[in-house]
Amino acid sequence: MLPPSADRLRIRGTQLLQYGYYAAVVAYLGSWAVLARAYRPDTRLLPVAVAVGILGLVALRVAATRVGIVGGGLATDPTSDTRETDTRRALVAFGWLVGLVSAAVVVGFVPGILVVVTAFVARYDRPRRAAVVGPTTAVAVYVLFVLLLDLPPYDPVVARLVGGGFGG
Amino acid sequence: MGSPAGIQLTLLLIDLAQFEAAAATAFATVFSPIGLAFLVGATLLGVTVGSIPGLGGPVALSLLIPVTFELDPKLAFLVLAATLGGVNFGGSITAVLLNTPGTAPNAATTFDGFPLATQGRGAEAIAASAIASGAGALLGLSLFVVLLPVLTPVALAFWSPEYFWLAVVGIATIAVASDGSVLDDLIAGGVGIALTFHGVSTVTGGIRYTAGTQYLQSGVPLVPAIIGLFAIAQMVELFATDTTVADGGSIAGDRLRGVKATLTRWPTVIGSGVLGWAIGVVPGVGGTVANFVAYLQVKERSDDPESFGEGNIAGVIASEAANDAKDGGSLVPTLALGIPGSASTAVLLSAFLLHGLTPGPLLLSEGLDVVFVVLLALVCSNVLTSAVGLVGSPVFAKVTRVPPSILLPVVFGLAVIGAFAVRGRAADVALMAGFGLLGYAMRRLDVSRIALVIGLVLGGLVEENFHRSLQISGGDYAIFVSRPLSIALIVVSLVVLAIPLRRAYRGMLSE
Repeated sequence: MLPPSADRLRIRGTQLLQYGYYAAVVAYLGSWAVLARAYRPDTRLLPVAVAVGILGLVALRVAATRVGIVGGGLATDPTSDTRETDTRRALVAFGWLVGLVSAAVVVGFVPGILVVVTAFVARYDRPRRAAVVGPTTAVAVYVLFVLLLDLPPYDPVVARLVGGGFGG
Repeated sequence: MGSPAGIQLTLLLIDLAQFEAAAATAFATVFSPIGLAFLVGATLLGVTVGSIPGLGGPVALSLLIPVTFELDPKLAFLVLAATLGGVNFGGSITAVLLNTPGTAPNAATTFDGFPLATQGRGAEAIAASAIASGAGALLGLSLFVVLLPVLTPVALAFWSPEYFWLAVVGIATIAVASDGSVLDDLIAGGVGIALTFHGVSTVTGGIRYTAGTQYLQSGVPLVPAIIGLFAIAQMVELFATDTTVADGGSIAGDRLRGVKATLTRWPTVIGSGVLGWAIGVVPGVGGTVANFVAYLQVKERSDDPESFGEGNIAGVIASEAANDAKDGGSLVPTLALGIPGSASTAVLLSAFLLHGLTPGPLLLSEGLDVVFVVLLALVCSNVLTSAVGLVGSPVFAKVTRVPPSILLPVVFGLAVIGAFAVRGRAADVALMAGFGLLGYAMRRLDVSRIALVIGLVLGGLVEENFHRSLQISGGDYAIFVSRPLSIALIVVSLVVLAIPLRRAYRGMLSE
């Protein structure tokens, strides 16, 4: 159970996330109105109509919150999630995802998965398990995607530098 | 492609001897040692591929076409049909256990499947899904065989305005499916539609919102979006909360409850199966609409609609029965008319053409043995997947106990390569990561990601048929309200949109 102050902070964080989310939606669709002027009428008709409709719904959502129809700020119920979420750990997870994508681009998908999965399990679980989970995942990916499904060829950065293809 | 009269004439011309010979050939092919080996292997491959987020029937079939090209056509279609049979059930496994639909047609399964998994009832949900999937598929294929001559004209009754309204009905279901804020979910659905406007308009040819990049000219791809929104977001959520999917409850023994739940809800199976099948008959709409509509009709007719979304097993049964039955329906336009009934059957259609077989009335006379192989393989693979689901559900359900320190990197690895595999473009992997971030934010904010996916799937259909209708009518908007079928679909969409209001009114009365 989080202490009351931490709980308030979490609700505040959720509200900020909501404002950020809707600000992003408004910015994304608002920019369409500007860009659409350069397009042919039939090409921009539905995109502009949909954008206006969504912006109207966002305005309605904000208005509903203001008059108190929806409680808890823009949140439906920011306190309803009983699991305690660690935002820092979420960011760490996204960091690992970026690492995995980068490794796949640099050394190839199968080697990248082998390295990152092994490293992750070694870091957050037991090294012994890492020695099993990493290679098993890489072999499963290789058999399914490369051997059975004939994965489209991809030359990683390293292969391009040394002038040869790794495959997969 | 052929006229309804032509199809019925073709069916009449198929004499009993030809029918028997084709059936005997199909049985001999499927039940030969090599046929059985291919059947089992392809079904298991289908279940495996279907359970990997993003890789569904279309992807599996398109990747298998080159592999099976050298085979005898009957064996090739045995492999393709069996894979298709396995994919649907495979997609429900991740929908239940990881809140990640293997493909869009499994999306409604997450509504109640995942809450059941978090309650430690994952094996029960998978077993129910396995039985409902198998029953739905058998029902759909039976209806295909019996009603093919009668219903092919229905598929032809849909013109562009009707497709437009049908897609609108599908989008309207967002409002009914919502358990949180209807406004939030409608906005999410709208953003999903908006995402389909990037790139080249297939009807007008205009290029829009590409930010000057070549990548966006082909639009926002669906598979990386689904993988990011669900698989990535769910794994980040698990890691951030440092918990497993299921915190308590038992695993062993639950599957019998799942079987019993499905058998005692046989009207739900039949009702949802018939509904899914009927939607599958309409070319191009696919299973995304079928599973939602079936889910919603069961929810609305229930005495306890509030329990849906909290782990009501009827939600899983309805969604999966409709999802598998729709394949039988989508075979009607695919095999009889040469018009793909869904994304999977569109790929199947191209496989027919590659093997020199032209779908349509001629296929039903000249390639009847291949048609029977497809039907028989689908029946057998669905029976097999039900067995696999029943036997394997306790094993599958163990995924809900795997700690995030192991589950996250494995799912991340499969997600990254899955996003790449579809089009072979590394940029799709980066896009998947971006959608992962969006999906996580939506998850934290309790905004429906399913709504966004519905918009993303149906937005293109809306725009394409909107413009096509106007091209047909020479710019006259009256075409959208000039045919009885269009009017009927408008009424259906209005009724669907009125359901949340009725629900709110009932809630006010009960207070």
